[in-house]
Amino acid sequence: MLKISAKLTNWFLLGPAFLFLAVILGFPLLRGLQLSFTDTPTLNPTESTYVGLANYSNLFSSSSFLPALIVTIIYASIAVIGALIVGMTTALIMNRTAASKFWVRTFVTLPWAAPPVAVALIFLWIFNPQNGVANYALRVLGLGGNGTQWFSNPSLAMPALLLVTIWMTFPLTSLIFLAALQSVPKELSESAMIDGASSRKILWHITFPIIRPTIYVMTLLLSIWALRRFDIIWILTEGGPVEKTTTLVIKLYREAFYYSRLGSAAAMGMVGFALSVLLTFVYFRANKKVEESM
Amino acid sequence: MKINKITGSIASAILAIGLVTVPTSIANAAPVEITYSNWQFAEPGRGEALQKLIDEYNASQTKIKVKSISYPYASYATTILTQMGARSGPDVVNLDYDVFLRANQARLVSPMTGIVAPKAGWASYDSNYNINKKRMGVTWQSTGYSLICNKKLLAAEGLTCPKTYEQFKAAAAATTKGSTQYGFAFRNTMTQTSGWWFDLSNFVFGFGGRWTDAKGNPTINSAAVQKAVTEYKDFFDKKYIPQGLTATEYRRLFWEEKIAMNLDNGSLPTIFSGENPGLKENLVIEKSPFPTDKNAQILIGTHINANSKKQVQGRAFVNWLVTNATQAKLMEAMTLEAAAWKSPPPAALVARAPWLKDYQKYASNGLLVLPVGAELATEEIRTIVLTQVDKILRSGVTVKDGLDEAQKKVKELLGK
Repeated sequence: MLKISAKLTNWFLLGPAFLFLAVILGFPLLRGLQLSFTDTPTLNPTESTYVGLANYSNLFSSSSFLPALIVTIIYASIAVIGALIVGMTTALIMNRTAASKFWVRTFVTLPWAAPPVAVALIFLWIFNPQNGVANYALRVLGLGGNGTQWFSNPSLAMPALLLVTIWMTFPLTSLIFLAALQSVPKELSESAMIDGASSRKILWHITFPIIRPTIYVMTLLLSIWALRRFDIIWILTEGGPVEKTTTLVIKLYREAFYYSRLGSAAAMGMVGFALSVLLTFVYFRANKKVEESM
Repeated sequence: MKINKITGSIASAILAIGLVTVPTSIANAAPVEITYSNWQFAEPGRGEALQKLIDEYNASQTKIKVKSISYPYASYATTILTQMGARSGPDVVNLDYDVFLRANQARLVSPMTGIVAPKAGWASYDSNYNINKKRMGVTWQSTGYSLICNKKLLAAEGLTCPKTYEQFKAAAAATTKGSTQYGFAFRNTMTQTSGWWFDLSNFVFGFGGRWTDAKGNPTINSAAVQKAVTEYKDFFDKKYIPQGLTATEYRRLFWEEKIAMNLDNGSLPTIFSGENPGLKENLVIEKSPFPTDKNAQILIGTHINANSKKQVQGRAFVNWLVTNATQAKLMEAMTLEAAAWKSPPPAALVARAPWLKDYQKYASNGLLVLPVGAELATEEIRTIVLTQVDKILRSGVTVKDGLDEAQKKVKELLGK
């Protein structure tokens, strides 16, 4: 009797959280899934008919889907790797000496605290072909910069976009890594040092294995954020030039709000969701293997 | 019994109070607020003038109050259409003609029954808003594209505002001085698709091309369009234009007297001379300098949101807009060469803004930038064509290959 009552209490206490998740996450997800099987127009959402898998088959047979998927994967991969490397390097520096002082940490955190739209607008100005600081600096250094079109040149748009993305995302990564580094017991590295281990060996064989779960979590989060990033890409390039920065999310936005095809956009959203789920699955598998090996 | 008496007295008292207060409350009712959206509220100079006109209307009314709403032009259509699609949005909206057609097809705008024609009569282009014998909007503004020259910069090279294409190209070359001064300017980035389409259409129409034929078949790779895009690319390659800049950025360069010529609509001389009053005397307007006289035309209308609960008030506002008195004031406030009525701009306005006469003179050359017969697919056709033109400008794709590809994709889109 007592057991049943305890169970009921558990459900009662968990209920609001479940309800919240169901309303905030579950309903939009299911609605998105349902929309993806219809031809719902954005301009008239009440007029829709069931079209089965037509949106998905159109999507996979479309000549522009694969390039958008490739652009998404390239963008997400480099953005994640870049943020991890820069974040880790900054965290290691901050973890060492006086560099970990309050002001340094505050300064490093600033790009992450700034709203993405503001960041994008600032970088539009920095990379302005005519009056931008970037071109001015290049001219002063004698490295060209004569009207270089950072966001309109097909070879430069993606690197410039990645630079902005990494600049915006590395602070959070570095703060999380710094917290993880500070949780590594000092005794371990000290005893390794006494045994003659070099700093690099300590980093590879002691520090990294201990903070590996944090690295995995950050990789997962950064990947999901990169896959669904819209704001800065839209403001900086709108997917151009020549579709070099058209990710799935940019394509989805155009489909839904420019061409008024909500059903087809929902199908794209579902593909993006499947990618995120796949990533999460890979993360849990990798994490499980690490736990088993420990 | 006593209780019944008391109840009866209370009921009578309530009824009596009601009879006295209801008419009073009707008489003193707060005006009904309607929302009106127009991106021009955010335009430098003209925005304030427009707001003043709305304030004037509000001051003259006891029953209606208009609240203005504005979004930047680049995101205006998407924002407003999404709101309207979600059965909300402003009560009265200004829309570009292609955006109106999409909204109309989705039944998001109301027929305007009971709109009284201005005493001067409707302008000829206003008939575009009569669809299936129903008035679905009224013209707010109609303006074409003409060549705006800075005669001082041209005179420095011994030139005048060009009248032929050869003169135009030679003038662009002569007035380009590296990255400090440019001969001409046009949009050339995918972040500006809506305006870029107008700029490119000017070249295409000017060289005799069209996006579709009379039957709605795409003609994107026709010889005339190829010639137009080749010339467009030549301006880009030779850097007669500032590459990668937005219209806002290069228009600033124009009023800072760093660009000699700009092919733009009738609103721009007002903005240029508003930002740099010294420039006014240097402005010369010529017709679009291409081999044929055709150029792009902007048509903006005012419409009532079909889902607005304030249809009566919306129509009252539109009725006020199209009166002779308001049309004259609107032209004055916005420095328009053409509005809903067919009267020319008032003489006092022309004296203040002499370029309006020139824009009016070339008004009959204007063509809407919609692909005839495929108007509702304008947005997709525009993206397809501009993506290929972007490749032609920046990725080494030849004009022929790029336009052939665009033609193929548009044909697929239209099922032709």
